[in-house]
Amino acid sequence: MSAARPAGRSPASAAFLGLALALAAALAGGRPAAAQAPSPGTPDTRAEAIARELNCPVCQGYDLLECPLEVCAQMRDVIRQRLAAGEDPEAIKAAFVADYGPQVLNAPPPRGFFLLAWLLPIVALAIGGVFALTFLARARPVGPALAESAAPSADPATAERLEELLSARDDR
Amino acid sequence: MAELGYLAVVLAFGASVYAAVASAAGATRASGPLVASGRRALLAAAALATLAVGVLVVAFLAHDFSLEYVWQTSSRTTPLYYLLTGVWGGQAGSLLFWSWLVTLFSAVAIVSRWRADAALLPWFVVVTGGVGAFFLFLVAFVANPFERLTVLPADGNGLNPLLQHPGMALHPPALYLGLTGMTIPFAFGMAALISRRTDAGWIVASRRWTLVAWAFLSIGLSLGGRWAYDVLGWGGYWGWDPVENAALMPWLAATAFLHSVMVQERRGLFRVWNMGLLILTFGLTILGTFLTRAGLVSSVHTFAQSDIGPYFLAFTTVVIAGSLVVLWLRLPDLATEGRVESVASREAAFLGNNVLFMGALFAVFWGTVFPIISEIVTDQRVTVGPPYFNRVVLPIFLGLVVLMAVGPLVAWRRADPRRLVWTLAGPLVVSLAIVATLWVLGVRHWIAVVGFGTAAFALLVTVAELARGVRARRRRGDGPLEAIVTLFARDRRRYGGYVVHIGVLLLAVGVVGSNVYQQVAEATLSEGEAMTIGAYGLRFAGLGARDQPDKLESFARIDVSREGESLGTLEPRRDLFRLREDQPMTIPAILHRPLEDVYVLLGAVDPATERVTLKVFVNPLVSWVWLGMIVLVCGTLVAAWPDAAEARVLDAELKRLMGAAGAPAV
Repeated sequence: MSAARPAGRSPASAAFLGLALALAAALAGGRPAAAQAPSPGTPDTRAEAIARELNCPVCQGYDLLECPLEVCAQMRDVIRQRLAAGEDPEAIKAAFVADYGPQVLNAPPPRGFFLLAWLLPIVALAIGGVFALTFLARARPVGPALAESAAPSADPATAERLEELLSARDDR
Repeated sequence: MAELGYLAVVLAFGASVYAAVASAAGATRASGPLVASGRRALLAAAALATLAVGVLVVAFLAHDFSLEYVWQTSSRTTPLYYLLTGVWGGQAGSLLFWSWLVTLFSAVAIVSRWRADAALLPWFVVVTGGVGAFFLFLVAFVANPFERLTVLPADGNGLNPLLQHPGMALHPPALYLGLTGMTIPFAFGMAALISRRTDAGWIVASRRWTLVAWAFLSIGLSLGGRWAYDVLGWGGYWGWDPVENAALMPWLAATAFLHSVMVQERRGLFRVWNMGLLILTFGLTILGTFLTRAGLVSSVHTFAQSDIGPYFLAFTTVVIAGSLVVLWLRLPDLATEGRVESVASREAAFLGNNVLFMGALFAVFWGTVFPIISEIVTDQRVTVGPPYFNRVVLPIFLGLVVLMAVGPLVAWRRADPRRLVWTLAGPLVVSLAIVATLWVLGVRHWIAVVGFGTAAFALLVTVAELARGVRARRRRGDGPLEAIVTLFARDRRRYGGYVVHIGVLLLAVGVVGSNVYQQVAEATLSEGEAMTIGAYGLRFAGLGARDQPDKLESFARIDVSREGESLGTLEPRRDLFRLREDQPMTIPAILHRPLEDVYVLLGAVDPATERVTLKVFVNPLVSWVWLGMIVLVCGTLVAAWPDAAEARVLDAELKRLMGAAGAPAV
């Protein structure tokens, strides 16, 4: 506790590094498409991205990409054809909205009343943050810090054990 | 026989009501006999509810289709363990199951803590008796599982095919254990307020119960994810479905409580706030049930809909309003002299944690109810799906991951910022190196870079903390294994907590990987033809069919290979349950590999040409999601395991050391 040596260069972290590298190799190696980053340009992945943003109009709870129904497979084909014909993704989505109503979109469009869906959580988080900061602004030191007060003269091992015991006591 | 079950329910309802009333009267008038009779009444209610559940189980085993509920959720061909699943596989049964757990948990709490908290427990009985009475009322008078049919059918309707998955046998009970378990800490909190015993005692009981309920809730959520992955066939495990959200919300509130309660235990701060979190958690368990059962929100869980919504809405309102009034009346009792001393302190880190958890909770809540609000205001129903939640909630979770790394290193009261920076420097450098390596290897999507980098940083810090503890023990001469065991035994809560954090981080890595790098391909194949996805080749080797007692399975044989090396044969299939032919099931076949899953769905089969349409997902790192959840649950067990004898030994040592160090009482 008292010895301020940087943690993180332990054998455990070396092992973790190795694990992460293996993971990276597997992620990258198995996937030439992902390795060459600019894949979002191909018609197929663009169609997937659009299908992700849309809902299955038939069943509840699936998006158009996930939906196992045949009719959804046909709709995915329609998206691909329209993309191939040079249509704009927004126009394709607008066409779906015109056909099936706004609930075909998988998230509310950030317009008008629907903007509230997006903004209110941010406002709530901001209020929480301001409240916490106001509370912390009143923070004032009271007496010496715990670590010092607990063991002004005791050896580091005792101080550490004390910290352990205090935290273990809280457990009960 | 069924009449016995119904009688038991009605009597249990009466006993719960009596327990609440008698305990309240006994506690106000300080009448020992009344309090004792209230306690006995609640124990009786638990016994009677147990009897009712037993009767229902027997009815299922005996195929008593004269009961509408048994007829609706089972059949003669239903395998044994799905028969048991039927007990909670429908509305009426799950309510009975819920009432049973509430009364049983309160009975356990009463028996185990009666001597320790004699002044507080009468009011505890009032609260749990009231909650139990509400659920038993619903079972007795609104959704009775012992209702008889007027004609005796020869066979049952069968369990909903969607629910016929091993995970389904455990997912609902685990969730119910978690949700009902939250009643107990709430009741302890309320009882402490009413009886004006808001000292440390109640919070100890509350914390452990919350931890146990939280563990069950986590198990329930992860089994639900597994069920969705194995059965629903959309290639994912979490869809931000309203019912999933309804279970996630109390989990988020309880997680916030488990963190901020430490500030109260150690420093006596946040006392009003913690009480508020308990009320919120409990309120959310009831509200969630209301949201999902009332049919207000559409969901894959539509089988759970019914008309009991208004009762839940009324109950939620009464509970939350009542609790807030009690809290308001007792505010003076909760005043504290302590204060946060520095922005760089553990207290402040927990405060930040709570702000983020509340932010995430609000976002989930708002996204779940927004379709209803939008319909009321604009007359237009919108869908709020994964794109919304991923954009709004996941950044908040990212912030929590950073706090998860930093928070545990910050000292109570006042931390030394320089030392903190110094401790974090090592993991930061290593995680940047990991990110750079990933970049070179081709992991360049910004979400993956930020997500993996942050998770790696937090994981390194946590593992380094564990390693530091182990090294300290080794310096005392412990062997390697002994060092780890004593480290955990000495401070279960802290190190169990670290294990939970590691679980969450593994989960985070899985979530990032499976979302960012999921691949999808579709193809229509004739026998012998093949398709490719990523490095995998899938060859359609023919159709087959299997006749099971309860269903007909038709499947396609798909030979999977990777770079020419065969990995085996998958059989994605379609199940047609004889009793539910209107509801064919598409069951994916999944090849689980350590770093990615190959997930194959059988789409259309053209009977004339025998051509099949396959949909294939490659889902990276999904197994890390399950692994993370298992680690999380193990960590929770470590943290929650009770050990009284050890507690006394540790207390004695604490006293001695405090004396030796000349420290003031903390």
